[in-house]
Amino acid sequence: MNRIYADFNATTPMGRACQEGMEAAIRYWGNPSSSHAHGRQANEIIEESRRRVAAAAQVNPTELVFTSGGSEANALALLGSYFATQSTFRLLTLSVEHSSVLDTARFLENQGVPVDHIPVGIQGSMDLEQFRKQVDQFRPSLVSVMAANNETGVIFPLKEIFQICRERKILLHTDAVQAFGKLPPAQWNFCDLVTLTGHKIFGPKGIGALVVKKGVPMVATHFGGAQEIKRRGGTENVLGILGFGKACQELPTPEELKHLAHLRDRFEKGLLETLTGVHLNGADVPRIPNTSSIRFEGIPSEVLLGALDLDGISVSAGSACSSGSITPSHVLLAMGLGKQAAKESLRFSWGKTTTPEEIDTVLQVVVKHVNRIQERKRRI
Amino acid sequence: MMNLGFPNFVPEKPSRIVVAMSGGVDSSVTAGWLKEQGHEVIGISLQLHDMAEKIDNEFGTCCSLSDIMDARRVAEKLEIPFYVNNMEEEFREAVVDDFIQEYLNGRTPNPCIRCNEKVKFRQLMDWALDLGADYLATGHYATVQTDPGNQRVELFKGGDPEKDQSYFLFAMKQQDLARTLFPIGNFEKKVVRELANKYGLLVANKPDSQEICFVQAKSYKDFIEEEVPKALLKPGNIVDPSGNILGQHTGLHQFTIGQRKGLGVFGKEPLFVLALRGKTNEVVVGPEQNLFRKSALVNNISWINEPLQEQKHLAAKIRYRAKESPVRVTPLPDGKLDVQFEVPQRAITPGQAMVFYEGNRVLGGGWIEDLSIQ
Repeated sequence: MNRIYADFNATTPMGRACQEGMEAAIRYWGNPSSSHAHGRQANEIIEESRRRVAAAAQVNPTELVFTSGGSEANALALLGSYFATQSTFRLLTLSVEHSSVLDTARFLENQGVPVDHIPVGIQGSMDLEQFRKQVDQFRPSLVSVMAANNETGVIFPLKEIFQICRERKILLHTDAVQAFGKLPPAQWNFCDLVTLTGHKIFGPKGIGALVVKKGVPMVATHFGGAQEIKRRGGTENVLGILGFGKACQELPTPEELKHLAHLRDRFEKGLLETLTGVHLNGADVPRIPNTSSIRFEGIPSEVLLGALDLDGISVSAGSACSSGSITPSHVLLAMGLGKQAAKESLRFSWGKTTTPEEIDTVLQVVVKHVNRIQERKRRI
Repeated sequence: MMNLGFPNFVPEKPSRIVVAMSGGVDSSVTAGWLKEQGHEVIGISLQLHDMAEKIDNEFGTCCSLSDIMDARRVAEKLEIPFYVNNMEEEFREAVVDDFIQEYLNGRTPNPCIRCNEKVKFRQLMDWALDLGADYLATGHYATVQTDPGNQRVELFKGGDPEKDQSYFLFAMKQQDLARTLFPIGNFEKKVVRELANKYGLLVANKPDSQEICFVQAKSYKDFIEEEVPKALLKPGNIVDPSGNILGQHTGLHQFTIGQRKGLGVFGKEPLFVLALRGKTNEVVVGPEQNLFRKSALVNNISWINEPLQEQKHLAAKIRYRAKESPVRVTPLPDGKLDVQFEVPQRAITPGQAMVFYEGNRVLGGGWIEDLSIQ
């Protein structure tokens, strides 16, 4: 069976240049910190890759700190800022952030740090006026708002948020993991701290980066070496960094992204026109071009997810833990969807390799199963 | 492999069969064996509680997170699809809260039967049918057989008398039984472990679960005290059958009928808990011979097939580990059953299930009511 992958927001396969580059670089096993030839070679790989990643994100290479991925970069952004400023640190973050941000925020809160959350509306977007008021009331030292949401694809107005923060000398962190490669860097790269990762842009897993702009107070949370300008101790993941850099050279072009948006629209339109009891989460607000979060009324997400998987289609529901167990999405719950509705939602996320034929096949199979299951429920 | 004179029904035609996998050896072998017979097998699990923080031994009991990890690995080994759904909230409401409430009311609940009835079979069957399955299979040691005449399904004991689990299934509905398979229901446990080894399953030597899954290594008393606000644990009197106060207790949840230890009161002869009076919050204690009784009242009856219309001689079990014993069962006008044992039974306990058998056949069962002691 030729499987169809519709879960690109979870992870992506590696691109060809990335994979070939990594295979070729396996023989460079030196420690980048060593002074000898082995070390110099490995160090060169890192520095060349740093420039590639920085170029793709349109940031200064010296501002890039490589981490083990997006979650570590998010933790470093929050914890590193906290330890650098201690008593003046106050965090305002978004209720639909990735759990690596929310859980770090909760950890800080348990340490006695003042933390508050920005609510979102039923469309999954935030209200800027309300945000301005919340900022003036809560007076955070750091605001953390993602560039685009992983489950709904909803884009957040970072330019306006940055403006509000800048006027008040508040720092802004953004988790740009889902925006990198899907939105132009100019929409998010001006933030003081930016989280990036490799495996959502057809690069390898286990590698990410935090952009730390000059002058932003930040201390390391990993120790044991002077790597990454003393911001992240530990011998670098040379191969991963190389793959990350290579993937950054293969980001989708604006034309490819336009095509992706077209395919997504075709899929969403097809579902909404063919089926009853189907709702698009975040339908009326700007979204990244590859993500559709869809609620199928009366059908638990694990049922449809399983039926699609058995027919060779990979999609996701809520957030899966390491056992594969599905819990209702905290994002949809924060949007006010209600437990039942949140448990009936599936995420389809497409990538630059998705074809129109794949979109049509998925559409057809989803319609088949939804009709079959709705029919069975009617008979009970 | 032994059987009881009739084979356990499994379709001959290759079918799509969903197996409820707990991460234990029985359900794992069920999946492996069905796959070996040529069926399209899909594994599903319900995550009922998160024991991630409490795991301190290698193997937990049923349906904790680490067990689901085991199930997932077994499924991968068998190369079958596997899905998990989180039902912690439903389980909490339908099973754990009821378990606690029953103890606070002076009854001794059976959460496994309640879970089968209110959570497991309902959710699993619905899910299986939505996945387009022909059957749901579980690793229970029990047998089903369809009467070729009236097409009614009968439930029988499992083949291994040490392992028979039909007691837990008495409340199953006819329509669910008709689509449920117990493929290893007639196998000996020894054979099941041999098959697990043959299939190379990591759970081949995993011990059988013994405790209540959500209580685990703790005592149920500690569990309830952790879960319940102190104000709900009401102190009361410990009395003898004539009502004389012998001492005090700090909450009914600490006692079950037949208990001897931890009473804190002493008599001329050893004292046992004879009854728990929810209304007055009293623990009644007395000599062991008063624990033995011949009559019981059973409520909320569920029959696998035809409801009992008139008095009948059957055999009954008053708890899972009790021996079957001959009874005379009389249906009462209010729908309850009057049960008279030939031989007095020790500690007939309100809150436990009584299950009725005719030979190897399970007729049905119900829940033991409080017959306040004379």
